[in-house]
Amino acid sequence: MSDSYLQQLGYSLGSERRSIEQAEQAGVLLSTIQALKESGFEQHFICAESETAYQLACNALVDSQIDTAEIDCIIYANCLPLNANHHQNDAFESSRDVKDLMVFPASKLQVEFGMENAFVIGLTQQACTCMLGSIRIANNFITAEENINNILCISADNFPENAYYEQAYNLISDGGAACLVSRKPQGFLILTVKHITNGAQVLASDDETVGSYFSYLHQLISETLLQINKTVADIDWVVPQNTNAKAWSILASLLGIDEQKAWFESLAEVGHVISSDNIINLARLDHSGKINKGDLVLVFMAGFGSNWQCMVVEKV
Amino acid sequence: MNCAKFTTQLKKLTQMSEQQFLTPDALNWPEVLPKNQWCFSPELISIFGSEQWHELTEQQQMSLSFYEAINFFSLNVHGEKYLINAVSSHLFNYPSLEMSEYLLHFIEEEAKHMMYFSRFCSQYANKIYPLRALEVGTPGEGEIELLLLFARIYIFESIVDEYNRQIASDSSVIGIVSDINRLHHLEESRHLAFGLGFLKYWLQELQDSIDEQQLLKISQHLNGFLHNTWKQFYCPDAYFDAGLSDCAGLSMAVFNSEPAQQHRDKIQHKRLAWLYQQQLLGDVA
Repeated sequence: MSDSYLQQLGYSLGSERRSIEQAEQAGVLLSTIQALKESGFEQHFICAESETAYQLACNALVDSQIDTAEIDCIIYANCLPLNANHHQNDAFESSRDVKDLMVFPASKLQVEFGMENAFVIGLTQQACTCMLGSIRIANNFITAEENINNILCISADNFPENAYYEQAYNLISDGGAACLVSRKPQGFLILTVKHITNGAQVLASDDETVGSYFSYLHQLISETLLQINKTVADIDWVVPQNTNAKAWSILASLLGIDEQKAWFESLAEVGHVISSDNIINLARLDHSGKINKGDLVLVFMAGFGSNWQCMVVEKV
Repeated sequence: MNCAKFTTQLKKLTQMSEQQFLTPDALNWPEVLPKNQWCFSPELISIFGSEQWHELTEQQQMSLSFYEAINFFSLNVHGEKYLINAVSSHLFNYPSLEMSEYLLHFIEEEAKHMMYFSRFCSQYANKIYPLRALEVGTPGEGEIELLLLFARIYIFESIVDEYNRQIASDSSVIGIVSDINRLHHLEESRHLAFGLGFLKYWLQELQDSIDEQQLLKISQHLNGFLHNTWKQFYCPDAYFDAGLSDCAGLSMAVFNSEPAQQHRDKIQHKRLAWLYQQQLLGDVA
């Protein structure tokens, strides 16, 4: 079985920075300023009027400094299905031509960045977990097909105009992330990725989502570790998504993991960047100099749908 | 990277520059900077962790952080001034028209960066620190000099970008400083993608004309440039303005210290890995 490695993590954020107070003035919050601050949020980033999810993807790709000439496959993942179409719906409304609903940003990215040898896959049904989903697929491709060496996993989302920038009590930023899954032994060795879906919760409310958060993550993390014959004691770092800081404390207690092992220091600065924030946190952990060769990192994400994904990687 | 791939990359970068022209208008400039906040990430301050650092009160450390920010932004002004001069002097003599067209955006963006870097320095310190780097002679001309020019730019921008990234994401740093670093990082990512793309393409074009002797000269030159670039981060003027003593001696002592060397090694081996792989940087005889 071939090993695959996660590397060259890049990300992008909407170009406008806004404090919680400014967000409240703009009418995009559901919770109070105090409640969000108590959860660890301080500010967020939103796209400027002319900025699109596709531009966020381009910026994340440039930020990663991935050599696009080497890419064999692009896995383009969006949390919000509307961001998987480059044209906005009003184009179809005037044309009545369904082609306007199939202007795929991944195809555009392929040609504009010269990745003509790459084939394209799109993911739109895994909500916030889609970036981890794309890494899982990339990992399996590398294992299964010997001609595939380098896979670009990329995700970007921009909330539509007038949307609340809060989901399940979390402050949201528009943003994207890009990474390379490759046979080149650099970055992080991918040990496993696991995914649970509970379709019955597809219409879950915020409270129902929060209610099932702990039980599903407990199950997911336990089963993920079992897949690789590891226990929580073997884990050196946990990289969660940027959701309420207290949620991690509770989860850590349920799992028996030392709270200090968690790395989500971008929470206050960038908030919950839809499907990209645990890539942001993993990148920053890697840059921090605190992680050592051989350290095991557990990365998890919960999303609507309901989807739950967890990955374990080893620093090389 | 072949010519066609590089041209595709140039077209995309040109389009991104046209579509995402960021103006510094959105920056929120406070009239005065509060004295009790960090203007530079403490871990990136040149004397961080040294004996002298520990002798300072937190207030003195914050004062030094302001002058380190002035030095960092002054370095950027000088670096970009050099870059604009050097790049514009070759315009429309580059290997392709697309490259010149992209570099027009590159120059425009660098000029814009100088505006906010210089504004910060003049508005809050009423000065830009002078450039103290020695001019280094170039061992090549023509096609080799083109390689060296963009390798020097890539080295400078990569180091600066590492600082930009870290400061932009440091919530302890005052908003205007982190915002300037964030804006700069966003556009510099494109410049770095261009720089690496060009170096890969151009090195491939020159592969038959660079022998071992030539490679050694290139490596010596770029190592010297890297050394001089780093020296400027240890600025006696900034130490003097922050009230430290024996500033020139301090600069030299800290620069030569083991922790400072480790800090530089970590950044340069991470950010300049490709240059090391190609032996354009590295141990030289």
